[in-house]
Amino acid sequence: MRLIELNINSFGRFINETPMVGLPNSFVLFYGKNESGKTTLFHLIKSLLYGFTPANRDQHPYNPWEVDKIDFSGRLRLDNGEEIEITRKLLSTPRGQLLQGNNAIDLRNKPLPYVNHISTEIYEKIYSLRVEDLVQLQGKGWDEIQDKLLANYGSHLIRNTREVLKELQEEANSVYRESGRGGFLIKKLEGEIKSLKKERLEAIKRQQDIRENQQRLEVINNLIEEKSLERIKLKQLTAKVKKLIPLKGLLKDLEATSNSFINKDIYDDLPKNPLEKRDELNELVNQLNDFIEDKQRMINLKSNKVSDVTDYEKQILHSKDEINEYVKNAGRIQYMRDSVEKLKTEINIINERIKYEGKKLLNEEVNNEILASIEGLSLSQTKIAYEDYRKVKADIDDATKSYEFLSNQSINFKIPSFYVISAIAGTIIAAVGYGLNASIITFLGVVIGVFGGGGYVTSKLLKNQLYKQKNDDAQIKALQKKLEEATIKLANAKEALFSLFRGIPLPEVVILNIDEMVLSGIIKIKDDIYQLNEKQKLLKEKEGSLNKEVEGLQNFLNTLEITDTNENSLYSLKEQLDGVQKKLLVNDGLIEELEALKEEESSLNKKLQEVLKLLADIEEKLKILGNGDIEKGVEIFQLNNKLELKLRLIEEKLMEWSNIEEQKKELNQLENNEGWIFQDLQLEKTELVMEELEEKLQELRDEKKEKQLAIDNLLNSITIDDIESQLLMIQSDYEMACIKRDKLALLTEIIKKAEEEFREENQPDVLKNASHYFNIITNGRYSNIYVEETDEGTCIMVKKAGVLAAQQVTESFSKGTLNQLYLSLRLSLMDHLDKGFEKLPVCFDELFINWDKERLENNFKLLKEISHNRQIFFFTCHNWLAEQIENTFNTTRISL
Amino acid sequence: MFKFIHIADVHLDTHFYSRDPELRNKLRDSLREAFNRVIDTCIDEKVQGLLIAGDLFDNDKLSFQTEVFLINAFTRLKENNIKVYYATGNHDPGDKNYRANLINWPDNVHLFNDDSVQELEVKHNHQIVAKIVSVGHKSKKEARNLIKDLPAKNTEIPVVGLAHAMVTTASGVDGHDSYLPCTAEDLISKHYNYWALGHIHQAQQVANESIYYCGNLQGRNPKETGEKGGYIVTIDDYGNVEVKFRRFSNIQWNTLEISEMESIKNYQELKDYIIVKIEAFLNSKEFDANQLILRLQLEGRCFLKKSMEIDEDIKQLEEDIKLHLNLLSLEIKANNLLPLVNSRECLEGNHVLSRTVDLILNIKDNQELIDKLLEIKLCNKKLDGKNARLKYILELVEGLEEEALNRMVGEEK
Repeated sequence: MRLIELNINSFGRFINETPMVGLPNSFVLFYGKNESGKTTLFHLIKSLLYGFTPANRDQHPYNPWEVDKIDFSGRLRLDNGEEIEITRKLLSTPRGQLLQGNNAIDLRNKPLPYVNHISTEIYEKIYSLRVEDLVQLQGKGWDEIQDKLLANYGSHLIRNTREVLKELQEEANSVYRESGRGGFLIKKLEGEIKSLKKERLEAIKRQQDIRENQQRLEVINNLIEEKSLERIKLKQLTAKVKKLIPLKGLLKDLEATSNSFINKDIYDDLPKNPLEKRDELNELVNQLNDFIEDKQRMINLKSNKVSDVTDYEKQILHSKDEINEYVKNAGRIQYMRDSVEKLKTEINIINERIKYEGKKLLNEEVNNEILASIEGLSLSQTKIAYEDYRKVKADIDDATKSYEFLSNQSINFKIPSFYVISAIAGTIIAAVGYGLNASIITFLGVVIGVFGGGGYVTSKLLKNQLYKQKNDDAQIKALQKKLEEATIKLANAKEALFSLFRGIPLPEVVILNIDEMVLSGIIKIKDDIYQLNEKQKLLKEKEGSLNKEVEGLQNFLNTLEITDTNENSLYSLKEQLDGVQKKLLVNDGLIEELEALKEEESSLNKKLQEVLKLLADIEEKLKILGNGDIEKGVEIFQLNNKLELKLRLIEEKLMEWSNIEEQKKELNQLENNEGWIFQDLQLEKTELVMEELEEKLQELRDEKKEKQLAIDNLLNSITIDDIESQLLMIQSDYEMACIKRDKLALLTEIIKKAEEEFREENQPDVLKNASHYFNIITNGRYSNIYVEETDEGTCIMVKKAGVLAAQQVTESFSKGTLNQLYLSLRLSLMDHLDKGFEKLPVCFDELFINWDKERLENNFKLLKEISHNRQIFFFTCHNWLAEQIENTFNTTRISL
Repeated sequence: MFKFIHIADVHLDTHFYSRDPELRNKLRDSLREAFNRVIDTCIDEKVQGLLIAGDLFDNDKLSFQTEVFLINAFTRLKENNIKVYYATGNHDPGDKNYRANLINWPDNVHLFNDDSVQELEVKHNHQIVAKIVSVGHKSKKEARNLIKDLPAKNTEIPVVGLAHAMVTTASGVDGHDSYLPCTAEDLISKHYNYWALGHIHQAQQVANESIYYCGNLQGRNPKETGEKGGYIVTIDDYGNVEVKFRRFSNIQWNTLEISEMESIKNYQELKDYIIVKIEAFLNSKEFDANQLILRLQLEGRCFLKKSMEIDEDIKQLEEDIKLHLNLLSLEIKANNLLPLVNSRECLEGNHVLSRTVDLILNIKDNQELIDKLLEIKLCNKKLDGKNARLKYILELVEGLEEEALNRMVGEEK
């Protein structure tokens, strides 16, 4: 594409510029001094193709402050000859329009669709060349070509491949280096693993040391325990021995004293004061003999006072209980007699009352038969029979009255005549009233007529009814029959009533008209008869009991041969009994006293015998002690007595010891089990052993402390488990680091491969073309450009025409050659990038000012060739260069 | 019928991966509790045998406590008429230097502790119910394929093979050294009813045959995740095998990957997001949170990547979440987080990055690149042979495109 027209309304310093029309197809030369707007124009071309960067009016460096907007348009001829017009404005928002034939396309701020194959960045870097861009070939310039401009194809997100590879390499080296030189992670981890393994060995050793120390500690503890126990035992033993020594002395003394006794058994059997005892016993014998004599005298006296009891008295005494019983019952017999008499009196009174009541009822004296009849009379039956009689009689009276009524009845019923009169009078009055046409009279007449007629008819009907009743004869016959039957029943009822009163001389009229008075009289007599019977029965019972009691008493008295069997005999017998009992009581007291006296006498005798025996015993033992001589026996006794006193003193001392039996036991144990002989030397030796034990114990305690400290120190160190876990973790880290490093190495290699492939694919074309350009620009001096990968990176090699060996391009090359080489590569790259697309214009800003004449001419040759396909813009402030360009390319400068 | 429990890799007295001594103690206790649970289950399930396929101990040292613990446990089994069949492994070989070999085991314990092949009859009620064929590790570096020496089954009676061996085709073999190596075919060719294997710490069935690794009894580090236990195996009189996995350990290690954190802009949002994810994880597996040692692997692009590179911030997050969910332990790994960039935009176009990603994604088809990568002097020195190196390289390259993107893309301006 070529820019053929430019119309600037406002862009940087250019405001309302005259339109630039008919711009040359191949070479466009802008000439102007510094700050005249050459760079502004390059940016304008770029903005025309790609839009505004930045797209903000306030931030855009070429927004003129006078008009505060950017506004320009341009016309382009595409490689196919078609022309297009582009208008771009930066107001509040960027605007853009593409006119292509009749089509208007809204671009907004987008690039032209014909420049999409080249990014803004690449366009800015490659298609705009300044003098400084050709100063260096390698380093930044070449890297840009290789990486940013070529390999990344303009994507601003993708990083410089070289940087990435460098970074990967550095990171991989920080993890692992094959050479092993320097510090890296794997080395560090291996060091840590090695160190941990060493530590593990040390820890195992420590564990062993701990175990050994613990075992020794256990032995020490056991020894300490053993020695402590031994020491305690010895301490206890010496303490015990010291405590028991006085006891041992006492016991020894006790034993010696005990052994000094003469005939100890006999001495022990003797009283403590045998001589006094002997005198005392003799005195006692005399006293006892006197007591015994007194007792015998008293016994005789009491024996004489005891009375004799006769057989009769014994018999009375034998019957003591019966006598007392009969005496007690004597009052009851009298009471029974009084009751009998009282009953008899009551019976007489009742008899008299019956007789009086009987006479009052019957008007004659009553005898027993009559009384028996009255007693047998049943009042209830009497009442029933009397009621039957009265009822039958009442029925007969009623029937008789009915019969008489029916027989004598005559009906005389007359219909009142005023009914007939009223009927006739009413008819007349009504007829008169009707005739007179007097309604009231007529009405009155009708009323009277109806009354009379109605009354007549009613009376007539009543009369007929009455006559009909009178004519019933069957009713009379029935009454007659009933009367006859009732008469028979009455006779029977009367007979039944009379039969009940049979034996009781009461008149019939009284019986048939019996009233309450008669009945109460009968009832009273019947009650008295009943009471009489009851009293008589009771009297009989009482008399029976009384007779039985009296008979019992008589029989008892007879057994004691008492003939007079009244109560007085009984009382006399009672007195006799009391006398006998009193006598016996006195005898019993005397006998009791006698027995007590005899017992006392016996006891005194017994005691006398005992005293005599004791006396004999003392004398006998003293004799034995003195070998037959009592006096000598007394002497020996006194000697033994002194020994006993001594023994008592020792025992008293022993008594002061608490738990003496326990102490003795301990003493025996010490002697028998421990072989202790209670000597001072033995005690001293024991204390010496104790001191030695104490020293040994202190040594053991010190060693224990030492071992414990050693164990604590060992335990405070890192454990095997900690080390093993750390090892596991570090080994895991090691594995991860290996993986990471290997991944980095693989990625590095893959990226290198990708880059190589990319280069292989793209560089040959570029380099071939560049070689061609380089050949032209050097006027055939150099024929080829190569690229070689060396340890130091990628190197550019050039080959002179006719020379086989290529030369590595270095800083030692002449500046001019380097400029030529770099320009060739740049131009070749442009061709490569535009291949198959629109060829974009290229801008050279003071690019050739340092070139010598020959090189400039050669360069112009190259540019001429390039300009066949691509429009070239020159910007310069140098007149000589402008003239040379004008002359060489037959163009005219546009002065700014 | 022969009923038994198959366990392996108990690693008594082993060391655990943790900086926290308290947690290590809990894990140590948990391992013993798990072993006691095995013994209880043997008794409750009325099995006839307990088969231990090696590595009962972790190393040549054995604490007195563990010795007493084991003898008590096996004596309990003896009291219940249960036999113990114990084949030694590379961690507890039959070498006399290993104190475990000097223990006076109760007479119900039978050891296969050398390289001689032994066949034992299992009797129940005076009848032979099964045969156990086994070979042990004599030394700690038994590299021979001793399985080949074992006889093929030639009886109707069920035969159970017991060994601490590495089946080279099993999953998870990479984390284990190649001791007593064999192939699945070696095992299948014996026609045993059941193979009780040990060595690989991940429970699994091998080659879809009756060949089982029961895994270890207690996870020891973040790699040994999930439920840990053993198999209750019943072989009926017709040779039919029923295998049931039973979890024995309470404490579990687990790793949860959390991603899609691009829109999270502050700490509270991040914490809430992670808590929700963990809660969903806990609910899905019915974990007992206070028995869980959880490692969170944060993945993907994250706005807060920079903060997540600060140890103190990570510790704060760990503590807050651990407290909130009452977890036994929580470790957050944020090293894989990527900066927030538009990867799609970056990968468009023809440039070194897009080409790099292309190479990574198609590495398997690029022999030239593979050869080049094989020439790299790797840091991992454990790789033995070209195949191991290639496998390792391919594993590392997988997902490396994100790293490339991370490295080659600059910060958004």
